[in-house]
Amino acid sequence: MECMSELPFTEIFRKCEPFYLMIGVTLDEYWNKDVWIAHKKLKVYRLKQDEINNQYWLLGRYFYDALRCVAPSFNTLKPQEAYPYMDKPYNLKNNPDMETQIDKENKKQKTIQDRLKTEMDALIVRDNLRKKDKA
Amino acid sequence: MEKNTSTKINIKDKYGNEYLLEYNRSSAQMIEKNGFDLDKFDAQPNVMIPLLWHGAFLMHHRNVKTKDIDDIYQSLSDKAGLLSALADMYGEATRSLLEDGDTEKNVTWGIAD
Repeated sequence: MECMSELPFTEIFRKCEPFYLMIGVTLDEYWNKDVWIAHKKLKVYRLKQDEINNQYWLLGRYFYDALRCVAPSFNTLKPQEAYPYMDKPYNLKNNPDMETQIDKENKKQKTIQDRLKTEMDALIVRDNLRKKDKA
Repeated sequence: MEKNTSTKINIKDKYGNEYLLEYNRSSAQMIEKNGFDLDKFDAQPNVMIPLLWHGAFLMHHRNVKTKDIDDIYQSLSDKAGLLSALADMYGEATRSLLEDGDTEKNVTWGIAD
């Protein structure tokens, strides 16, 4: 939202009007009612935006986890069984900001990744040795 | 503290009539149309003060006669305080659009000499 504070008030009102109508402030509320109603509705709008953003982020997070679980089975060099997907969804109720949960999940995934990397390195070393032996 | 509602002034005249003075965007726009300019407040107080004072009646008491409004003004004490409150009420119409509402972050800082 761009409202230039150096403009005369009327112009500021007119400039900001479409934005506030878009977020659900009525014309009557904007022009004739308490001036802070628009401000409150702006806060509500921002909270809603954050909520939508969080939901999309969570969706991406689940998708990412699912991909990481099945990724080993797509390993062309050494296909492995897919890791089981989480038994339960993230606990949003007891962990409102999800930070701890996400950190735990990240650590778990990091362990899996490290293990995969070690296995991959070992595979490459073994492959190189085999090639040398043949030569 | 964050503002929840606009600033209002209650006034009781000598006849016992009560007035609630408040600004909305419509009345702020109206006084601007009539020539009000906060920047010219010091240079032209004789023009700006009546506009600001009359504007405060537009929201709830649109039909009060100009003469009555002027009489109420004349009978009031602490005019400096009143004008400051009126200017604040007028400013809120725009401040409520521009402020981020994050008034909790009220720590200020400056470079010491």
